[in-house]
Amino acid sequence: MLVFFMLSGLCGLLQAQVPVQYFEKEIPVYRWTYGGVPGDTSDLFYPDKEWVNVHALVFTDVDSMQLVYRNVKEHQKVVSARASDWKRGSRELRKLDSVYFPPVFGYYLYQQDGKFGLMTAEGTGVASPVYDQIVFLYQYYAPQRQWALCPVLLVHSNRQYALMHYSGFLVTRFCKRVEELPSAYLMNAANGFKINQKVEPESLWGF
Amino acid sequence: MGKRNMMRLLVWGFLLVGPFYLVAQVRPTNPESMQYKRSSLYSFLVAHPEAKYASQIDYVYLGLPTPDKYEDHNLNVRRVEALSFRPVQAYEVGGFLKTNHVARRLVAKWFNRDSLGRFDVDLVAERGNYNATEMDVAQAKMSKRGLALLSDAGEQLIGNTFVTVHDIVYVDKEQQAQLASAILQAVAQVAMAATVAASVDEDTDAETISAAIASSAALGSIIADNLAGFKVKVTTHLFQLVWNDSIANIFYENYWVDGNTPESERLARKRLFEHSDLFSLKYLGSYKVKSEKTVMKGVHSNEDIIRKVCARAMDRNIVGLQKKFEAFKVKTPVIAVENGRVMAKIGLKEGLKPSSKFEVLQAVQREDGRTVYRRVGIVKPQKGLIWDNRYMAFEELAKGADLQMTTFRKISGGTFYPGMLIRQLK
Repeated sequence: MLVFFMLSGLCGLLQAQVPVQYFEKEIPVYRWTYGGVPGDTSDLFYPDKEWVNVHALVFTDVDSMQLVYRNVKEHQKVVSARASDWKRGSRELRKLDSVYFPPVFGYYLYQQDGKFGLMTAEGTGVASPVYDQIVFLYQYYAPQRQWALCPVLLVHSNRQYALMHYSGFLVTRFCKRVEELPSAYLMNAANGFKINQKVEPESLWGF
Repeated sequence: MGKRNMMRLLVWGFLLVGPFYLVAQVRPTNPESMQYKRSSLYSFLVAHPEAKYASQIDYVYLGLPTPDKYEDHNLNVRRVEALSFRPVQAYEVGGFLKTNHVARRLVAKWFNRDSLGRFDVDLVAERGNYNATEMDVAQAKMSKRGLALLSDAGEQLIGNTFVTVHDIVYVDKEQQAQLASAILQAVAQVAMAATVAASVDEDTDAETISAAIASSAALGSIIADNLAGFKVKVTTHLFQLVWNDSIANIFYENYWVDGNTPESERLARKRLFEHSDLFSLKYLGSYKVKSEKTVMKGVHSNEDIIRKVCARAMDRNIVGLQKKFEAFKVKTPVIAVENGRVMAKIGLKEGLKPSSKFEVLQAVQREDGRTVYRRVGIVKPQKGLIWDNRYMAFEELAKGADLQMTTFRKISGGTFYPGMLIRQLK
C-alpha cells in the first residue's frame, strides 16, 4: 500500500514537471545585420539569411530538461517559483521587493500554458510566461559603423514582435513586423566613453 | 414692480453678470498648442558600469523623454562612464564638457549646422515662434527690428540652454538588509534562550515577553530580508550655455555660413568655428537626492521599478535646482481660468505644495519684436487640488493623480486669462 502511494506520488510529481529548457542551447541562434546607412540608427534590422544558413546552430537535444533538474531541490524551487510568482490574473509581484537581475546569460526558458518565459536556475522570474516565442539575437558590433547591438532577445506575442533586453526589459514597443522594430535600444558607440576621454570621431556627437 | 422695470432689471442683470459668466466658462486650452518660450535642455547620464543594475539604469535612462517643460536639445552622447563607483565631481563633468566642446555643439544644434558648416534659423524660429523670414541673419543684421529679434532669441532661447548631468549610483541595500537581518536573528536567539530559562524558572510574565520579542525579532528578520529594495542616489550637475550680445555678434559676423556664403569664405569660417573657444558653459551648481521608498502599486515589471525610482529622483533634483537657480526656473502656461481660479499643468512632480507661491506673468511683445514679461498677480495652489503628476502616480492610484491639472487661488492681482504664464517664486 505504502509503495503504491509512493509510486502514485512520484507519477504526480513527474506530471507536474514543467517543460523547462536550458535557454542558450534550445533557442535557435540567429545573427542579424543592420540594414541602415552608416551612422543612422533609425533604420531597421533584417536577418542575414545567408549567415543563418552557414553558421546558425540548431540544437535538437530534447533531453535538456536534465540541465535544470539537476536535483530535487532545484526542481522544487522552480515549481514553487511558478506557483507563487507568475499568476497573471491578480498576480502579486512579491519577488519585486528585492529586484534581482542575474548579471549574465544563463537563464532558463520555461513554458507555462503554452507560453514562454525566462527564469534563473533559482526559479527567480526574469520574464513572465506570456510570449509565444523568445529568440536570442547575438551581439553584433560593427566598428566601421560605430554602433553596437547589445545582447538582445526577440519576443513574439499576439502575432507581434518586440525586443527584450536580457534582463527581461522590453526595450521596444510591439510591432507587427520585425522590420518595424525601432532601434532605440541601440547602445551607440557614442555612449561608451569615459568621463576623462574625448569622444571621437567628432561625428559621434551629431553636431 | 411694473413689467418695464422688470425688463430693465433683467437687462442690467445680464449686462452685469454676463461677462463674469463668460469669463467663468473659459474652456481649458490645449497646452500642447500653446506657444511659449521654453528653456532647452541637454541631459546625459554618468554611468557606473561596474555597479549593480548598471545596464538596467542605462536602458531606463535612455528611454526617458526630456521633461515636457523643456525643449529637447540632446546631442548624440547621452551616456558617459565614470571612472569608479563613486559619484563624479562637478570639475570632472566640467572637464568633459570643455574637452569635448559641448558648448559649441549646442550652438551648432541651435542653428542646424550641417556637414558643410552652413547654419539656418529654423529651429530658433520654431521654438521662439518667430517669423523665419524676419530672422534671416543676413537681412536681420541690416534692420533695427531684425537685430532686436536676433537679440531676443539669444536672450530668451539660446541663453536659456542648460545641461543637466545625472550621476545615478545604486545604493546596495542588500548588504545593509543582510546586516540588519543578522542582528535581528541574534536578538531572536537571545530572546529564545531567555524564554527557555524563564520557563524553567516558571516565570510566566518573563516567558510571555521573551516569546513576544523572539517572534517579533524573527518576523523582523524576514522583513529585513525583503528590504533589499531598489534605491539610488542621484547627483545632478547643472550648467548653462553662456550667450550674450557680444558672443552673438562675433558668431554672426565671423562664423555664420549659409547658402549665400562664397565657397572660399565658407571654408575659412567653417574652420574658424570648429576651432573656436568663444563658447562656454557656466557651472551653476549641483543637487543630490536619495530616492524615496517605492510604492509597489501599479508596478508590473522590474523595468517599471527602476524607471519609477530613477525618474522620480531625477525630477526631484530638477525641482531642487530650479529652486536654487532663478535662471533654471520654468514658466508654465495657464490653461484655464474658472471663477478667478487659475489652472495649469504642473503638480507634485514640480515640487508643488499648498504653501508654494507663483507669480502670474503676461508676455508682452514690444514694437521691436522683443518679448518682456509683466507680473500681473500672485497665486497659490489650492489645498486638495494639487495634481500628482509624478512618474507613474496614476498607476499607483495616488491621491490627486486623476486631476490632470492643479488649481491655484488668487492671492493678488487682476483678471487672469489662459495663455498667461506662471512661475514659482522663492
